[in-house]
Amino acid sequence: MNEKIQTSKIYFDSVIVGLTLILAVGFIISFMLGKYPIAPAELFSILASNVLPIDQTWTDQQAVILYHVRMPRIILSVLVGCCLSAAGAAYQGIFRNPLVSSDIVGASSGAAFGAALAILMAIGNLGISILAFVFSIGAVMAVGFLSKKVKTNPVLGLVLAGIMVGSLFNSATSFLKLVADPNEQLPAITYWLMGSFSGAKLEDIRLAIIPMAAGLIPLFLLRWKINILTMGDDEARTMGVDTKKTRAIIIVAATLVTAASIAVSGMIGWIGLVIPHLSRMLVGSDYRRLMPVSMLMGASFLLIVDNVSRLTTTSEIPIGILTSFIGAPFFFYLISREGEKF
Amino acid sequence: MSLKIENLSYAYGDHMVLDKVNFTISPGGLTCILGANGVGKSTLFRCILRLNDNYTGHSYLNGFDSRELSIQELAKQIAYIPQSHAPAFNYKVIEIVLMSTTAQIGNFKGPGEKEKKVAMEALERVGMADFAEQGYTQISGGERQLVLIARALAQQTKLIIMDEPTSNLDYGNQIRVLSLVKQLTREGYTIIQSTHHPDQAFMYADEVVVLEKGNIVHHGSPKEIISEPMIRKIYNINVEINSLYDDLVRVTVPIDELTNR
Repeated sequence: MNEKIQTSKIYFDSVIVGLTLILAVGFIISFMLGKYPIAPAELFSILASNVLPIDQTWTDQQAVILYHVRMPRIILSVLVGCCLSAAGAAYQGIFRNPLVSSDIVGASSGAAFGAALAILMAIGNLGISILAFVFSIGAVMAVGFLSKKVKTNPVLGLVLAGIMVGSLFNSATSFLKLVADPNEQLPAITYWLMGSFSGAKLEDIRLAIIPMAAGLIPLFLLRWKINILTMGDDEARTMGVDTKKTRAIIIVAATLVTAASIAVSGMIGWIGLVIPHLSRMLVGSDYRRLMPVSMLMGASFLLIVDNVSRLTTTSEIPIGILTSFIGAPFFFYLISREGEKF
Repeated sequence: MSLKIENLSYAYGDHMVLDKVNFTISPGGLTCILGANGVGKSTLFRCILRLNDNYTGHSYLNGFDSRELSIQELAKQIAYIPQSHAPAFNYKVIEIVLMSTTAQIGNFKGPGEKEKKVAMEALERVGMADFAEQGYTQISGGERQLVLIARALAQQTKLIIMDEPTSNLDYGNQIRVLSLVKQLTREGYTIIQSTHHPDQAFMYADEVVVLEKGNIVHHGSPKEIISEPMIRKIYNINVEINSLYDDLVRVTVPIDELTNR
């Protein structure tokens, strides 16, 4: 792509407008799609009836489906897509490594273990969120600490530490499945680990929205600082950035949104790796542009993939499986095409 | 900007690297720091920049103890130019230069039009304005070093510290970079650089600081400080110093090599 075009303000504004339009259109269309179709006129009547006195032309069943089945699911997939992509972009910058995502730095497997533990202990949805976050941040800190032991090749060190900590937590999760009650808890843990929005409830949104907002806002506001942190601690400090504090805030924020996402949707892989790369191809490496583009693109991507997941088959495919099926080959395509940039 | 180093000591664990180092650099001019590998040139820089924060002694900038300054305030006083390297992501040249304006802007802000103007002026000053929209990883090593100098200029400090700025450059780029550095000192910048070449110091330096093992510091003009016995003491090499063009410049020749030919 022509580099001059990539940094021009008009180009960036058009990308943002385009992605927002895709998201808005996708958002509205998603309400109409499903086993019980809702026509556009009915959709707008149902929504408008909240504020306007309109005669009921729809069935009660349609309203229930709209508010209690589709709405939570659509909102949640948008939020989770936004969060996982933003977190992936942030981790890549903080760890100065384009191959990083919440899966690699241990955030996902830590959160998965925490959530599985919470299901096992039957301590409710809030418990799932809290334990997911606690173990997620623990895993990230362990990976950060261990990766420093490989002094010669930091990129390799991080990936190796991530694989190690990840497999440790995955085994621990397997152990939990082993001791779980095979009739109730085991299917719940297993299905949840596959990642799905099929059971999304309004309550899930209420539970996730606060930690998500608390994480997304600093990631957005500090996005310029992430650029400087990618130059390494020494250089960043001499340019006036309090590296310890800034890095800590960004890691906690990224882990918070990852854990909040995983707590409500289960394991949804690859999106945090693929979306920031796609965004980078579109608008370059500067996080001032990369962060908002990743957020918007991730939201649209997961919304669309979730629609595919719930529409294509009668017994729907968990979305975590779909994102891997799409993400892994796509990522291979990316590195083989853009190989020299890594 | 004057820099006064007073009784500065630093140890890595039990290993004392700097032991009560003292010298003062007056404003304006290019100071070259010479010394053998491992004698503590980089450590000295790291202390002045407070990257090694737990030193003892003092480093005064215009009379103010730099320890009293916040990281952000210090960045408004000293800019640092590392050896050129490839960053993890392919930023545009202009984005690299803009990074140094961070100390001047708010915590949750990015650079605006004013900073962009400062960055473009800095790129023009080093003759790299045409490269502004190019990828930093796609330009040559010499061009990268110039971009890093532009970045230091955009930081709007009066003191600039350079860590062996010519070490990765070809001969032509070495001369071009040093010539630019020298011009900048004439415009009022105080620049301190480490170097391994006595000849560079003879050609460009206004002052030299020689760090000798045992933390003895020699400080003065190149002609006063760099002598045949001094080179032998620091690098363990026998040289002959030749004066050229009515002593306009001096060059060192490793004389033992001549007998080996």
